[in-house]
Amino acid sequence: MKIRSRITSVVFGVIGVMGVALIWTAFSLGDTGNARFPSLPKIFDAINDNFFNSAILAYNTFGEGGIFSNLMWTAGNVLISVSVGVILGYVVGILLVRLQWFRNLSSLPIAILGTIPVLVMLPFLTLWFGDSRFAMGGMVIFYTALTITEAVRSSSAHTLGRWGDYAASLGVSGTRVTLSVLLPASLPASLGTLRAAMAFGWGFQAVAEVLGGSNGAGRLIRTFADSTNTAGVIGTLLCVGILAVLVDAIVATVGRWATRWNE
Amino acid sequence: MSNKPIREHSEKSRARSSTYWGLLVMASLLIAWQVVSIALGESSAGIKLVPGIQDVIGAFIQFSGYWPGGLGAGDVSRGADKTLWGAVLGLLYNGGITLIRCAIGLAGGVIVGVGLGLLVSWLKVARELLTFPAHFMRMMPLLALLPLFGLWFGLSELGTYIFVTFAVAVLLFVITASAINGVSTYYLDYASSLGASKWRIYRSVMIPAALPELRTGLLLAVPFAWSAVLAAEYIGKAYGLGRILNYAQLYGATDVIAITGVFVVIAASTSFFAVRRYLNYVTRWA
Amino acid sequence: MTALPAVADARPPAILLNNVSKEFRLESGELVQGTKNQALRVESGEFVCVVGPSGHGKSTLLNMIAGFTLPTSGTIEVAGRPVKGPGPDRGVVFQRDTLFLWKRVDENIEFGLKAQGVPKAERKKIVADLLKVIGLERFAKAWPKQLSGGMRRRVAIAAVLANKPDVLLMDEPFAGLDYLRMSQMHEVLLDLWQEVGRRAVVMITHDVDEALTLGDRIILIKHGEIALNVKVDLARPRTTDDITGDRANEIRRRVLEAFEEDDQKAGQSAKL
Repeated sequence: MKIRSRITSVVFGVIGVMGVALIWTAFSLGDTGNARFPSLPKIFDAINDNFFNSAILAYNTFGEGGIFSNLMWTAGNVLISVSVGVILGYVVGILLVRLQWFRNLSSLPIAILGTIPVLVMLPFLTLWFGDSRFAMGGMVIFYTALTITEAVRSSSAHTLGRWGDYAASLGVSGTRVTLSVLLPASLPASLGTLRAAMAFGWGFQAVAEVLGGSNGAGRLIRTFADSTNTAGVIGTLLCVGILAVLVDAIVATVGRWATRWNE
Repeated sequence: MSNKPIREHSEKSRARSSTYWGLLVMASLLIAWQVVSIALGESSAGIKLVPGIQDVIGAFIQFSGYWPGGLGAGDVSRGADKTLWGAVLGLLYNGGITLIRCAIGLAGGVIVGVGLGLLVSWLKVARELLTFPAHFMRMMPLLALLPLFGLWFGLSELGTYIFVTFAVAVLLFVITASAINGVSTYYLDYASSLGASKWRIYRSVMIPAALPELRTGLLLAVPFAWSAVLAAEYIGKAYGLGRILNYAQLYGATDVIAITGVFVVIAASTSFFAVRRYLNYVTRWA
Repeated sequence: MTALPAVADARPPAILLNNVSKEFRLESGELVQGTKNQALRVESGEFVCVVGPSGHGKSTLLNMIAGFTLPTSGTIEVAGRPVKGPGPDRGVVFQRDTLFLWKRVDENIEFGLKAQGVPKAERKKIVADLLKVIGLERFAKAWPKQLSGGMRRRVAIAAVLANKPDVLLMDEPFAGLDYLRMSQMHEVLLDLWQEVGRRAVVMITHDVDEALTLGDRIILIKHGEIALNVKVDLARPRTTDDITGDRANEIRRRVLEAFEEDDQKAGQSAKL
């Protein structure tokens, strides 16, 4: 049963993608100027030409490399930033549950932080940290930490409600409760949040690069756009999307294994 | 075995004490900010890295530079003086523009995203076909599509609206489909056993049951729409809070960034809480 | 095997309640009396079953002994030590399922031991012995989600008893089970009880048959007070014959009558 439904969804997925490709081709045929809807072959060419070394990059910005190297830079930054955000989120989340005074102090600021449009941070990050990895990834760290904090906090509160008394009656101390009970119990909830944060993360990282970076896929997109190379823009975007989907699939698989005990 | 002793305080007094705590924190953060500002001082280029509170407040007058003129305040870019009244007008004008763009984009995104999501979820085949392409679009850096929309629509207003709508729609489409998918089959079985038609079940059972998860997604969409508008204004528009942020950053005017940021945060959180209020009302049975 | 008579002052009683009262303050400010001036003495090795109408204070009593809530007045001592909060000397088997889903069966059973700092070799031995008693050796490495409800129950009780608590507290642990499964669980419980040296047990139950099968004593709590305190002097192990015999029926009738008695009799503890 499981294998059958897996194959079915793969088949449907492939048909869906082909359908989209068909519609796109229809658009591109009707577009004479080639500026708006480059045909699929044109997009593939753009990707191919620019994959390892991009002439346009060297010419326009004295930059190095092509799609691949810039993609790796972006991906590396996203992964690092998300990891930092997860660690930060877990620390704050657990503290919120375990320390009453910390909870009192932090509730209002965190609630407000959750409503801030993340992009507001970008000018500050750029001014303070230039175009460094930290400046580009700062928004990703912020967003990931914020959402993971809430996921960990709410799951831990629920865990304490369900298992708190039991653990106390076994004579389990505070630290051990945190490590052996709260952390594992929080995995299912934080896994979903992690995947969502990564999805947003790619976006925040890329847009930071578009708006002011000198490295990464976003910078490449901006360069292509400035030269009205639509095929290049779309090609790069597709590459990022493919990588993002791949990474997400890996995270999901590892996550499923790590929470295989869950009901 | 959960016979916990009943709480000493009532709910109301606890809410009040947490507000006091919150204000205490905000006050201490402001003090800390001021201390850092003084400690860091100015960079070699003369820029104050962390603008002091007095700088930020003083920067308010800069908004008058973004008022096109009229209603008693001149156009600063053509040599008129910077006035407080001009600054107020500038703030309201740019803020209003950003707010309108955001609202239109959000509304459009909700209608298209949720609408398509509901429609597609109705037909199982459609859902199966579109699941992967939609997931792919979601994983693509939505905000980085900005240059693409720039290529397609130039720097027009329409382009901005469509960009924000598109970004929000993709997000909400994926969330809606997942929300409907997640409705417990228990509800469906029960409704069927009562003799309800498929359409009635969809309308009166599944959609309301999916509302709580949908609500979370809608709340997520509000600051996301703001980010999208700010991004669009950052690189392309003549007016709007995002453009002010961009210029301030180019000139290293941290105080202007700060005061603009303050108003953005105020506007964004107000809109967030307003939407949440409304959604809580709509799903008050949950 | 006969029930052990109460040992005179050789060891401190497993549980001692002195004039314990518990008041609750409702949100409206009203005071509600949960438990009134209770005096109770449970010797080590005694199995006490607590019955009574719902909402009359059985759970409150258990919670206070466990240390989850503190009495408004009076003292509670377990093995001579005053109760200040929850601890491993009072093991609790909850009504709901409390196994840690992310730990395997053997990890669940040894969790309390690990927290007490018991060395690894000893832990493994204790776990192996207990698994044998509950008949789940083959499932040592299974996840809780792979076990049936009854199997989880057995693991839960073993996990608590592994700690060798002075007192075992149970709140309707077998509620909702059919007679056959309940009898099997009773056997497992009694085997485990035997294995860890027959600690004092206080078990809340709705089922008078269960109380007759397991208890050395039955206590009826009504309106927050002990309305009946009767010894069950039937020989162990008890069969269906035993709990339907004359002596058992006599006790059963007393319990059921006490259940239905109206308020004026409350407060009288009739000791046989």
